[in-house]
Amino acid sequence: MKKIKYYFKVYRMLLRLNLLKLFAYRANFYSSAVTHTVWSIFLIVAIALLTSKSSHVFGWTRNELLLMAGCYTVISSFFYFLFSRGFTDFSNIIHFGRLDSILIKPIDSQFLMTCSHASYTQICRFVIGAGFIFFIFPHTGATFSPLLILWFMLLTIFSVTIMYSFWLTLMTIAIWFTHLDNLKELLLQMNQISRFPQEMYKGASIFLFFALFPLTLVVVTPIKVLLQKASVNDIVWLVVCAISLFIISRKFWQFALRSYTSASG
Amino acid sequence: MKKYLLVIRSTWDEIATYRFNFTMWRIRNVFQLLTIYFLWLTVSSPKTLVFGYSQTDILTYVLGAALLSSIVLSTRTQEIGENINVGDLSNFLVKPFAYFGYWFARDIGDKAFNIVFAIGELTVLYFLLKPPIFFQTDIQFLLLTVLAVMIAIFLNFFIGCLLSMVGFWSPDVWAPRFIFFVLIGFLAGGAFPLDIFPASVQTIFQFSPFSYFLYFPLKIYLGTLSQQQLILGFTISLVWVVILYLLTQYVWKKGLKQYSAQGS
Repeated sequence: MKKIKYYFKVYRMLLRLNLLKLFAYRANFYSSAVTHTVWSIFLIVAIALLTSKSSHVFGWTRNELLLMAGCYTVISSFFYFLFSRGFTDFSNIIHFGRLDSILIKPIDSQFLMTCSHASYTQICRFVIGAGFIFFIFPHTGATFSPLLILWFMLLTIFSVTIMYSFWLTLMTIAIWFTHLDNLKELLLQMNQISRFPQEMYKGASIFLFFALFPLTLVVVTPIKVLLQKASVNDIVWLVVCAISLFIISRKFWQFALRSYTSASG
Repeated sequence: MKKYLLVIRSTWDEIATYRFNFTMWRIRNVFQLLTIYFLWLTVSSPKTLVFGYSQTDILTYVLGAALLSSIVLSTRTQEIGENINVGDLSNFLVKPFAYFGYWFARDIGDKAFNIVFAIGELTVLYFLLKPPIFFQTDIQFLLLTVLAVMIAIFLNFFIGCLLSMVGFWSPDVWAPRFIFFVLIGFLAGGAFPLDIFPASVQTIFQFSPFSYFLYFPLKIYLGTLSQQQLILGFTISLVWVVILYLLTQYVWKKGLKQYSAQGS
């Protein structure tokens, strides 16, 4: 318990430091904010255009798919706010041997590698996504209730955990193969998988479908809860996948550290 | 010419050195291709038209757009901005070759490597998925498509250089480039064919350089453009190549006056 309190205190300080950095480089903040805003709008408009000629796709109504686009924007904004900057530097920290200074600090290396930067500009993405959810939700025919929102928020934590575990597991490969800038590009593309219903990937090979299965749960399960269509199985799958993937990614990181040679690229 | 061939070769060597990194890039492209394919396969139907396109035509368009994106839009010009920001540009200014010639050779090297792998991946995916796609057999259309792609490569190169030269005035070269790539998804017809938009919007697209990145070459490949549309399209795109070339030269001269060689 004492340790958790300590980590929360450190994290609060890191968030404050990031905020100070943001005020110091305001031009950078404004340009990034515009970028994220444009990108979020693009994702929603793309789905709106794609579904403009059909009322049902993959067994989902058009408004439900639009709600999915909004929820993807919100859930991914949480993930990118907490971890994207950390993962952006991940490969370079290892490539240039800067992991040494992290390993000798009296704090967990995984925590420092992935949580020491926050991307405040993701707030723009969150605002657009949340605003769009409030706009489109009444059109789906479902009714809002505070309990549903609470469930949605709780499941979002597990969804973000799945995304985090995927990113950490794959990024850890950089310990063996340095200079892996494109790994981040691959992971950004993999995140996009969660934008669409699982049914879309059933035409793919069985291997591909099962490899990507956890990612297809990330947005679909919280939405099913919002639309009151989720079964207990759906929720159990999300929770089990999140916890197991987190444990696997943690173990993999600890295992990989044994191979770290500290040699700079 | 020999020195630029050496630059192309050194680009290949660089890619080969970081093979795993390049493999990740190709896997990313395969993922993108599969996502687009399954999405449009489900949205379209063999019996009905989607946005006026048959399933075969729309799948050819979106898969072609994904392939052309990796050829036309792949570029190394983002490194120009980094060069300016960290002061490495000074090293290039004293070397005996044209600065933009060097970067164009880098782009060609990068694209050549990507094309070889893209063809291999597409062949494998074609035999695995057997997608209903259209193969153009008219040599005239194929040659015109190649010409349009070459023009698109020049357009993207000059715009890439212009975006990177923001580095002469601002340390933040990433944001304008990212916004550009988001917009290009729409304006170049990467996400959707541009003729699904209203006629007035299409006219605006027609006079912008962006529709010549992907939409124009793909429409030529599909053989759906009239002779008049072809002549107009090639004229506008070539005019844009000249405008962007002159603009690149002008901004380069202005930027060099601003350049102070500061950095690490």
